[in-house]
Amino acid sequence: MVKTVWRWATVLGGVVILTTVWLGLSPLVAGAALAVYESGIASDQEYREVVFITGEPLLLSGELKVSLGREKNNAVTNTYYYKLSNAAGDVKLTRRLTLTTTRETTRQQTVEVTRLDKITETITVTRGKVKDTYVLKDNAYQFHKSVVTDHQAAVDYFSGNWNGRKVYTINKDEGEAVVELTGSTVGYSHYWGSTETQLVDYYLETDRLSATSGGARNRWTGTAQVKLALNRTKDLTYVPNEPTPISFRGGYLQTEQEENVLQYTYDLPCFSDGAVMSGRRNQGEDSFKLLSVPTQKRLPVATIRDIGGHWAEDDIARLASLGVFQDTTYFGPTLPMPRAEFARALALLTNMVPAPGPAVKQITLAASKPTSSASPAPAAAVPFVDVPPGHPYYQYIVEVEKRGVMQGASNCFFPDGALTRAEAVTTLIRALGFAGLAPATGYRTTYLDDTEIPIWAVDAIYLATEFGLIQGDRGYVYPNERMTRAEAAAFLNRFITFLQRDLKEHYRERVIYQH
Amino acid sequence: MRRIIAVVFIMLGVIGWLWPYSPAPTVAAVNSPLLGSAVMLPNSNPGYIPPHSKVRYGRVTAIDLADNRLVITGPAGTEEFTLEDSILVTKENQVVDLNRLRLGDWVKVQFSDIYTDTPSRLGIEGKDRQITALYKGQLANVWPLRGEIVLREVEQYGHTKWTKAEDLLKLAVDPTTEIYRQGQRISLTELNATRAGTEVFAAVSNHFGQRRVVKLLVSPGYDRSFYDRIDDIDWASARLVLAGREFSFDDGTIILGNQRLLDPAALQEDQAALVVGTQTENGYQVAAIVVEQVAAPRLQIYRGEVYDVTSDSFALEDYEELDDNEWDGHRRHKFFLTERTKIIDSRETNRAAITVPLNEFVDSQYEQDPDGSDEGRNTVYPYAYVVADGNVALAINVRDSVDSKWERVSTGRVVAVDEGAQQITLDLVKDWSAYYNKWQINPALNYLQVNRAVLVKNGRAIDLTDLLPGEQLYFVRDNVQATVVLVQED
Repeated sequence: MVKTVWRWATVLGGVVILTTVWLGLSPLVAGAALAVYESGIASDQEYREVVFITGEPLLLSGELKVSLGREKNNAVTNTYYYKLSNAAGDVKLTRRLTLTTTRETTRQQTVEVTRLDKITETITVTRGKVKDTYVLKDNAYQFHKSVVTDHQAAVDYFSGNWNGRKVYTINKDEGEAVVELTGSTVGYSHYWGSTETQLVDYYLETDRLSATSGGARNRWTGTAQVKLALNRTKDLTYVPNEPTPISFRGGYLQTEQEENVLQYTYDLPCFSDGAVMSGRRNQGEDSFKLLSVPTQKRLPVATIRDIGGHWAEDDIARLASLGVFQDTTYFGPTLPMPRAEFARALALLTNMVPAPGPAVKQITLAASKPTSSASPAPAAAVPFVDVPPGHPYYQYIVEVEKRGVMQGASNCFFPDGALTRAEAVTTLIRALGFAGLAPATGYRTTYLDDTEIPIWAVDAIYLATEFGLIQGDRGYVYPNERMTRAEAAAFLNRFITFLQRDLKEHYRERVIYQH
Repeated sequence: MRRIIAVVFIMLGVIGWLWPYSPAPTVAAVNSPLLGSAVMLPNSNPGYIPPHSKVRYGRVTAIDLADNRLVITGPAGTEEFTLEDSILVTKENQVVDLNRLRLGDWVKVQFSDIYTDTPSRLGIEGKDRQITALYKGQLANVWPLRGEIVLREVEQYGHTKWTKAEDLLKLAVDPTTEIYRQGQRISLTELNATRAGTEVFAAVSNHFGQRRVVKLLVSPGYDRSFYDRIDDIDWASARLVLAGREFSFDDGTIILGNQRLLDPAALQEDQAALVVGTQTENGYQVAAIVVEQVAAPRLQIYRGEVYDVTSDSFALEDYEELDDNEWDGHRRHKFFLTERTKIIDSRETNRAAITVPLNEFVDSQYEQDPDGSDEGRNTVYPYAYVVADGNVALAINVRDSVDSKWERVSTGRVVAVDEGAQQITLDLVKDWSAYYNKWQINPALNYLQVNRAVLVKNGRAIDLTDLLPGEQLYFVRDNVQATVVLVQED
């Protein structure tokens, strides 16, 4: 639903160099996510991964190229080329990996299954005069992965698992190294960002001739855990202007940055002259982070004249910069928020309906009264008798209705009706897709005016409180009060912050730090 | 009957558009007489949630295990919970005792009921959240759009002193960073507006290998540091007295203890602390408070006369237990032996300790005083130091009964381990002072001899090879010779 962000630096005869591995979340790009099941992360500068096959943690970096196949019959085949080495240059890895992902979509969910078509991998380790070569055996790589994605109105959520087993020969006939791995992934994707967190457990087993003790066998086992998270966040920052004689005091800058982190722990043997030391283990942990250079885009400056000094001034100005409100001259912060305008704001902020064109066009539209020219071509169906295809907010209302976020009654949407707090809260909980997380019906919320909460809004108000979207006012939630335009702006900004920051914290820090 | 069924279907149809998927106009919904029927929909377990699925996150601001009370402050505000003994506590994927919980820890509190304040699970986040450094320096650059600041003339706090650090230090700042000036929280953009020459204090954590500011305070002015015990504290007026001076603190004050950010409520009278403040006409305004406390070890350390050895147990009589870093005498304590109980005999002062196999220790039961005032006293291993987890002996160090005036209870950080020499190089050493009732800095002690000591880590006796640089130790020593070394569980 939300498009995965890929950036390609160079195209070389059909093969592209992946400079920013945004290992994506949308259907059929799950194959891309497999590139990091090898415990690696990337920025726009480099790719890094950690391998344990030699019995010590080796941090390798270098180039990852990806050749993306075309989707055909709900399947896509991608090939990944790795060329990595460590900082000292005495460890080198080459790997070529071809994966095919097939997709089944039922209702609002997509199930992807990925299989391994082909892989070759060679790791060489040169220490002094000793050179070890690990070669992945033919047909000795078992791999299975499956991910389910739940497409909600404003957010896609996904979860998946995989397991695999790789067997390497060591110096052709000196022994074998077996790497077993099991991993899980969980994440989300929406207009304001995305996060994927993976937890991978390794079990390593090696049986080889000792390099130094003639004829003796060197046997060891080890474990490792790699935790990594890939995050992309779109943020808004207010930038004030220094000089006073300027037509606007400041404006908002939209930045977008990828922040990919990897943390690993290991329990491996200790070696002395190449031989395993009895009763001693090499245990430790480390982590690193790769950041992309943030992209920047200045947003149009809001010139609303009736919000100066208002408590919600920043919230209103921020949303106005995003083109959420039609009239950018007067806002009317204390007026009730109409249902239709809230539907439009939500649809734009979550990209259910893409923002209407370039900035110049936005300003032109914003300065004028809403007209039917802002609407797209009429859709075939007219869900509400009071929102005809010529209605200025037609496309937004149709979209939020289609996604189950807002509905009306008796074939009417009541576009000019004042939005209540209960309606606003219910709408955002539905947009997030959290409605199914509510307790079994018949419970009470903690609000003192619980009995005033409409029955259809109880779950949403409970959940919004649980997730910190609302806190109430001295114990009251005032569910049936009309939400003012200023309150709606503040609420929508809180919603954006939840998407930008709270979800990231839930999916990254709270998953990694608790494991 | 059919008529009744038809009515029910009609009712459910109306309910269907009202609930739960249709926020219809409020008036219609609220005034609908059918809503009452919706409330009555049959449900055998109203309010049911899957076990552990109600969750709160936050920083621990108060713990009272004696009163089963836990207070956390998080996105949902400050909440108080009641703890039960049955609660499952985990830390970094391991089940741990509740006493591993520290003030300032970040926790995930889980409930199996929406109405209860008694959690079913408690997950403690590990060292990823800890404060790894406290810096002060001048702001050289503030880059709100990159989320970074650069400090110059940087000093780092350590062990009650500020020492020169990097010339220039770049630190990450993100939206979760708390930035304060004069008690008010400000944005990074606002900090940028007054950055020139501004001195700041920054509490920093390791965020996946990157130094990230968790809390930053614009210095109130020229500062002085004082290290002493807190004589008096008044939370209502946010003032404390230390070293004969009065200090005021506010929301912006950086309070650290055990590498964690603390709330003012965690401060206690008689606590040893370093306070950094700026003198004003109304006393000192505090920038930072570092509580130089040492967490009590989870395991217990005893010493006493060995009695009544059996194949499963033994006892200490006229024993002493290390309680709040001081020996406290008692009558008798029985300990159980396990296959893992590590026993050493370190009575020979001119050589390394020898390991005593468990069966040899058990067989010494036949060498006990048969009668008289010492009935049951073990004559082979008459006196020992014991590290125990409850009643289970984890390690026993047989020694002569000594009352050395050089014995100290100390803490320190492992810098390096020399297995050959059986020595640990230490820094940040503190000794407990019973006289001053506080930890005293000991800059003179920089190594520890451990060839006659038992070492315990994660509830098991270990070898020196299992010790890692950076680990915090709590140990009993006689001059530089250690008797018992515990690796602190953070």
